[in-house]
Amino acid sequence: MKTLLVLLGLMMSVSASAAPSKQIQFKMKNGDQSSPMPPEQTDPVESAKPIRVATARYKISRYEYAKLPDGSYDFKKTVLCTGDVNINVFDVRNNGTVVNAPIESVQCADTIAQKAIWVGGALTLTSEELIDVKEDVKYAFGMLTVSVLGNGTDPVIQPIESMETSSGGTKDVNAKSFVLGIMPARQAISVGTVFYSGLLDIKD
Amino acid sequence: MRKIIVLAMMIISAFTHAAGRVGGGKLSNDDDLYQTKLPAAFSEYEMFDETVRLVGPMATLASGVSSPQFIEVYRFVNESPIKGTSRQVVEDFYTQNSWQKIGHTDLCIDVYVKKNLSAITYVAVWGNQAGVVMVGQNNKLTSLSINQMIQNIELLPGACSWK
Repeated sequence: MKTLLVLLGLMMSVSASAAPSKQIQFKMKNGDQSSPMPPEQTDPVESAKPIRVATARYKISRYEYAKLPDGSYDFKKTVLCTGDVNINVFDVRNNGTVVNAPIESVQCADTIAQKAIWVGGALTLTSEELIDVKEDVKYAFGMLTVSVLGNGTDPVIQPIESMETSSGGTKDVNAKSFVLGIMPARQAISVGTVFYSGLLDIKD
Repeated sequence: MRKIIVLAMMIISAFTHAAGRVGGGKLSNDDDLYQTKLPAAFSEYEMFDETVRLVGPMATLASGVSSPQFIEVYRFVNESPIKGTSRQVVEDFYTQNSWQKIGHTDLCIDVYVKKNLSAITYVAVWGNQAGVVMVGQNNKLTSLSINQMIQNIELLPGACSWK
């Protein structure tokens, strides 16, 4: 009898644990030496100094996985905001270390969700990946993080997940943009899955 | 003692009305009485109240934006826009709404597919509101993986419930 009750308690505690049951980690293609951290927790390497600042244009969109009346599904895309953000440019040829360089953060209100999309984080610069680059200085491509805030002032209510750059990585120096994406936990306000994507174009 | 066992069964049952369970490389559902193999490329998963989300590698959407590929699995009873229970009613609805009917080795299972530019939706039905809906991005890997999951559906005893 007592054993059964204990078993019951265990089952309830397991079932009551919050979804998702398995944390998804999207890994960087190369040079990922540690799990991405929220921007406020990044630890820039002091020895790495930006040689100049470039401007990058961002665009954040919300994708909603919407159910149609006939039972099928579609994506609905809503552009939430665009703007410019300063981005540090480093010379990362000297050694093989990975530098987490903080960049500006931007906020982007999602009025439908009544949430704010906060974009910020670190560019992960990997000199190892730039070894083939002939020019002295190149932009390193990296990752940004996106999080969903409560109302723009509340603390983060959704955990920040990392994302993978997708436009060719650091060796493709001509690709001056990359896409970031996040698929946060299912939003209660949505019919289907909501995730946010952004585009950061380095304008040079 | 019997009351406690009944209570335990009720509690277990309360937590098994989700879209499915994942384990041993399979997705199964005790309400709709089926199981199917998980596709190799979608080994990560998240469980929610009404859906199981299988997560695969990154892909580029038709709009040019990159995101992880995913397959969302829902129960047919929660997603179907029709409440009819006869096989003919179900078939009439889907075929009249431009869904394509495809075959399945289990003759009890009717499968309908609909694609648009960005998404692909599969519906597999095997009786009185019993079935599964799987949806994902409309790309090669996701489409193939959903199709494999649909074709690998094995019904458990008592699942086929057409009237």
